[in-house]
Amino acid sequence: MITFKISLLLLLFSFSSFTLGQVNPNSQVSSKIYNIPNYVYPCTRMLTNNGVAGCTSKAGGNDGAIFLIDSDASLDNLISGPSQPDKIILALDPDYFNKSIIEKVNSKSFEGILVLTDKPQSYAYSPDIAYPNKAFGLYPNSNFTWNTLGDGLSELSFNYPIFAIDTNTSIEIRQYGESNRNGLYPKHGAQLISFMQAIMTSESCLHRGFCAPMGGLSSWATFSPSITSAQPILMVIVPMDTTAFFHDMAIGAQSNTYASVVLTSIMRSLSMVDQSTWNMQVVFAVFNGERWGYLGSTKFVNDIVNFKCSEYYDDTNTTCSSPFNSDLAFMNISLSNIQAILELNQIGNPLTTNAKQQLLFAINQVNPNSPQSTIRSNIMSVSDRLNLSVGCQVATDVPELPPSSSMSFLKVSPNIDHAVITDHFGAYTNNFYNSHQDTSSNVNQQILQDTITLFATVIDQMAGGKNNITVDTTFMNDIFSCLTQSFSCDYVERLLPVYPYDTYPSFYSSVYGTAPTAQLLTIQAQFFHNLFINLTNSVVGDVCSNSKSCPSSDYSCIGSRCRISNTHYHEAVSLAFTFDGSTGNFRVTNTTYPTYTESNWDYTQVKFFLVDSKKSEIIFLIVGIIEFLSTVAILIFSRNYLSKRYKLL
Amino acid sequence: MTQLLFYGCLFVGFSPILAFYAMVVCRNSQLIILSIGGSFFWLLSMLVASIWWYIIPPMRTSFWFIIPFSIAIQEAFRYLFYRLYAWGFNNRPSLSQVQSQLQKQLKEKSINSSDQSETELQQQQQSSQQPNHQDINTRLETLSARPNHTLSSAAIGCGSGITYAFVMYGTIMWDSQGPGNLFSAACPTVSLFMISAILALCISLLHIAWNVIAFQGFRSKKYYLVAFVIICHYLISYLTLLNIKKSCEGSVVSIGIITILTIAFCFRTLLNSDSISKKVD
Repeated sequence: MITFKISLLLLLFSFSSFTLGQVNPNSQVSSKIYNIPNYVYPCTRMLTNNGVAGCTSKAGGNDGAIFLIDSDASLDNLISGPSQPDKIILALDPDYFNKSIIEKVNSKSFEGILVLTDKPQSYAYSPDIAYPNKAFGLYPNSNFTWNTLGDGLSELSFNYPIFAIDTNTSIEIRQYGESNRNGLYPKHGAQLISFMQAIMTSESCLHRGFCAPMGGLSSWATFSPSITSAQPILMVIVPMDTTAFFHDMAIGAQSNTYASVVLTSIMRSLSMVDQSTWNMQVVFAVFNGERWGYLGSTKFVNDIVNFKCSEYYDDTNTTCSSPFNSDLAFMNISLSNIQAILELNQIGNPLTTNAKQQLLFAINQVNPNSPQSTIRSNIMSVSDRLNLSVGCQVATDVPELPPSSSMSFLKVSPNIDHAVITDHFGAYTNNFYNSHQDTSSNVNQQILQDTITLFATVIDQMAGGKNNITVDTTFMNDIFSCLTQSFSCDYVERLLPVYPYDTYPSFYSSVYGTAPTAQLLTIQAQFFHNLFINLTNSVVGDVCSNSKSCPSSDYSCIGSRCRISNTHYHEAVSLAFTFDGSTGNFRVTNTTYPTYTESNWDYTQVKFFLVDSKKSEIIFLIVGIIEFLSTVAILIFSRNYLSKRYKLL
Repeated sequence: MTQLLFYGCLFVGFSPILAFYAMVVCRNSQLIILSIGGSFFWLLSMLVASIWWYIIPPMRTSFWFIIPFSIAIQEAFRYLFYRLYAWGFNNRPSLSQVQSQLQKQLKEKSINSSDQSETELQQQQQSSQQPNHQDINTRLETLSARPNHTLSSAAIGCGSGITYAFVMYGTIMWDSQGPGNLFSAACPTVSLFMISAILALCISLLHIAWNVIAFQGFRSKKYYLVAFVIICHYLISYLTLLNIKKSCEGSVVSIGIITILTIAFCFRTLLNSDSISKKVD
């Protein structure tokens, strides 16, 4: 009997799960019904003080039959064709994922959207807004458009779930959608679960504990064992985080990950040169949360200017208990000591060339025509001196500084010498700014080595060195593939205490945490920090298994060795929020700063399965009820009939 | 969406046997106890069968090999339970036997009492307040009388049938609540939940019929009835194997027909048996 078979299987479960702990996943009924892909990338809900953006499903998830939109004909069929007999989940071909299509299909009723990723998008597209972080930069009233491709899809709010699906599953879904077109049952269906707890505004959801502020941890490091006021500081900065419509797919290769690769490779090159002649302290920093209103850099600048510790944790004066700050090393940096800032921003794919056929980076400055700028003259002299495939040129035609972390410094101290390096002269040339399509194929890997040589030489020269820079190409290529292709390289294994669950690299900053003492450390932020320690360590000690087995608290155990390095985390959180110790929640106390928060959720999941027609299920239920009523009737009748005629012994 | 399917399956699979339980078994406390006994023995037989299945890993998915053993074990436990039942009940008068005896006594009494004088009647009333030994015995007999053999065996079968349906099918049916549905290779267009509901319906009813027939056979030593039950059990079990790959129509339709025929045969044997007789008034 089939049912007999299943009972045996059930008994097997009780045996195996209680005695041996082995469960055969193929024998569970629900695992036979549901195909659950391991990696799905949900659109989640974000909030500001003005409202919500992003997506949410119903509490139990949204389900329906898959309806594939991969051509204009299938789109027309949905919009003007006959109405669908079932609830539907739209599966959008990569080319059909943009604001105009979403607005078109919004007129029809559907349960959710799956975005396929089995093909690259064939046209340039950005779901971000036209001027990212406009309100929090130097030019809140600007009329300029940086991200000309941006249609602002990421800022919209959807009351249905949207998921991106990994490549292999996308291929399956395409087949499901094609087979559903014949209208025969069973159809292929999907259930999308991404219920977001937060509603309304950041203020109300923080009060209820249903969301957490955006942010994370920035990292900064320097080769010198300690920061002193005796020597001026050169800041070399990169905005570390990026975003995408699907946050977990935010590789952001061109928008900033390329710059992160360049920065770490520069540090690698500079760690091998003679620094004895340097008369500047070079501080390397990657700022987190920059996509959400320059959180990392604003917090850093604010702390070095305003932070005062009223109660130290202990005599070493490295930790402050009120206000809480676990690492006070930044207090050695004073803003007046920062002589220059070199920011590597969007540098992945320069397109402009000069007469020497060099690909040109733009040097952006608030006032590009000002006569004295040491950093500009240094960059130009190096660019002219070295015979590389890349060069630099001052962007004189651009009216403003492009959105950049340097703005946070310049807002407080406008006279700091600075250069924001970009690959675009004017509006962005990035084809997929803040889109999940901004992958390693969107950047120019050929010029990576020359870019590193160029800027490492600039930094060395500015600091006072006269070294010939050599690039560790193995390191460069490893880090490049690690950060833009698969987060599974040798360095990840060596430097991180845990192996990432999903090796899809994502530099979405995520949330700061639920309290200053309960901060969330993303694996990417931790990677940069540990890599910085590895690159700048001044002392390498014994083999260790964790930091406690190292001789003193100055050491950290990175890559199985005790190391001393002047590397520090710095909180990246908006100054709009104040932590209220009595309620244990953040409060919005200053709305001039960004109020981005991210909703909490329990889990996100996509399931695929077969669905039957509703008609046959209704018929079956009616048959069942008739059967029940007739059984009762037969029993009453036969009891009366038999008891009159027969005597039971 | 498929809460619909869940309730459909619930009604189709469980309603007849639960209605039988509520309307027949629950009217007598002893029948309820017997049905619980029936379900316990069926669970024991499943335990032994699953141990057998578990200790031979290479044959776990070879159902043709597992079926004969588990049916043999089930039938052995049916016989064991019959022996237990016979040991406790066979020498007892049935409720209807006690009742008819009581009526006979009362009849005799009323014939006698019509001749007696008024004083004697008063004495009689006094003595009825302190009942005599014969009355006490009759009441005890009524309380401890067994239900008739047919209903007893049906209750035992009902117990095992309900347990069967819940253990084998109830847990699967739980999964029909979700949005997804399950289809087998043999039946790519009909939900496996529906097929299983129909099979659960047939086989749970067959459990009642088999138990009635088998107990009849054991009691009256008509062993061809027992042989019929065993053969029918084998037939049904092997027919369900058609669901895996070949044809679900073949399995469901033939199992349905066999169920109807078996129930009809069950009634026929009852009418020919010693546990039922025509009323003569």
